[in-house]
Amino acid sequence: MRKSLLVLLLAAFLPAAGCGGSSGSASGNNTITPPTTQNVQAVSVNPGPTGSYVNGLFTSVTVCLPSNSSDCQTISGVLVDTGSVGLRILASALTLPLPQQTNAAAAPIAECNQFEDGYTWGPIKIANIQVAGEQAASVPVQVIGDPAFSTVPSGCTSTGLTAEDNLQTLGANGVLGVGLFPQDCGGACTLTGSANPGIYYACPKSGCVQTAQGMAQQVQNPVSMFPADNNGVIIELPLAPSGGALSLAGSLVFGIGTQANNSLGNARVFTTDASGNISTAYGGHSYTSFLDTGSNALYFLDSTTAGLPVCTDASSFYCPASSKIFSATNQGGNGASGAVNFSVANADSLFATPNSAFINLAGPNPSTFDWGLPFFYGRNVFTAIAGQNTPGGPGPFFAY
Amino acid sequence: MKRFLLMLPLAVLMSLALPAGAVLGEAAQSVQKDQAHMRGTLRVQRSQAYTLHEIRAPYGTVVREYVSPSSGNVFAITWKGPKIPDLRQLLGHYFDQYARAAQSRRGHGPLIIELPGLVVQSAGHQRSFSGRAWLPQEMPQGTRAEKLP
Repeated sequence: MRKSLLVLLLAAFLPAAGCGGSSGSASGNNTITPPTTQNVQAVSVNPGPTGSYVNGLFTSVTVCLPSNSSDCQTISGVLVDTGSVGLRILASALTLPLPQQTNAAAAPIAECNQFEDGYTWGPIKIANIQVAGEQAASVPVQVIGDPAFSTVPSGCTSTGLTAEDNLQTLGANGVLGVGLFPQDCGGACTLTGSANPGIYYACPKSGCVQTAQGMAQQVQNPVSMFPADNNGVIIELPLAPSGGALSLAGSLVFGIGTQANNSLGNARVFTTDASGNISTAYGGHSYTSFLDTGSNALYFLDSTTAGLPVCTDASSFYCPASSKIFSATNQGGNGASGAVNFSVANADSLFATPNSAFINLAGPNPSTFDWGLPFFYGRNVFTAIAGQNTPGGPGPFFAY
Repeated sequence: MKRFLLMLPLAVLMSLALPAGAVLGEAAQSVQKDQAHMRGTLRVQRSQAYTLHEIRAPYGTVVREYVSPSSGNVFAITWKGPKIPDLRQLLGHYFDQYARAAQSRRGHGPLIIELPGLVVQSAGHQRSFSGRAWLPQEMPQGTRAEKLP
């Protein structure tokens, strides 16, 4: 619906804009030239570069040297993640010699980034980034698993989380974090002393030590550094059948209300708190919740409360004898609310198929609702960046 | 920084009033080790079922340690904040078995570890993490880990 509208609009405007070249003739053989900035990036749910990822949303990202933006590398198999901020690339997937970020004393800067189920350790490098027709210049990004930074500080390993520092553990060649904030850490990381959470490290020859890191030097959301279409993104994915789909094709659209193809329309805005959470009501209780394409299932409740046994071979997933239907209510900080109806199938049965996209894959998560990628199937979900204006008000918010 | 200094005398008073520190499975005295490690402020709250020791790190993560009145040991720990705290410190000698189990999980989402004698749940995203760890065999009667504040 939205796409056919766009085509109509373009067809109407292009000849007048005079940028269609010879294609602007009235022969009925018109080709459609992209709008001022092409803001749609193809994304796909597929098994990813390991061939075994389930409910992973992948795309390609082009990185270029800041000093020479014709010296570029396109990296495929990059996971699209609304639950994090910033581009992170496996060192093993990167052939371009990106320049190292350093502090005033010329010490290289590195980062220990925490994800929900793992951490990424590695240096901060500077890249120009191209996605669809959008470009961001001199963006701090993280390189993961860099052999030149092989000593991981104990402050980084002390959570017990898995090191997601290679293709097998990360399951992707990189992560494109297009979440709710312009930076991955924010104001806390600019502070000195014990008020600093200790995520960034300065690494002189003597070893890495925790350091304060300015807002602009932190790993940035590439979207907020685009010259335009920089206030957020839409993830557009079709529904998946109950038995799963081999793959799903969709779009990552940049900007909210900035072009004809990214208006909020009837989407309902759910503002988040300062940490990026909304809430979800279920069974008389309210849970912290968030919408996260980087989580690969609907993670909610405990086995007893949900009435769903976990799988005997994988306690991260539910394995009911037959599918079970649920309804929960999402609530935004702005008072918006809406029911979410979903179903949970037997994960073992789903995994026995050759499919990679499952709308009804779920697992336990007793104290929060983690609305992973299945939530996005059949919805257009907007993620608006904090501090940026949109026709639906300023970010941070989710809308769908 | 300023707040830390202001709170320090209170923290000292509180810790003097305690039987002494807390790491999971260890005596209440071990809370002081955690507090020192996190450079946090401490608040203690007693109830019939347990004594709650709340450590607030200057960077915003709040750790709560629950001490059983019968054993005098820490039977549960919860955390919430912008960064997952140092679980090697907080879980003590339970850390290794937790970390081993964490490496073998499947999926990409919250971490739910259920071992005989140890449960660890960890969830969230950049800027917002929460979790809890407890020893099922050490839970005071009538107390459910899921219901701990």
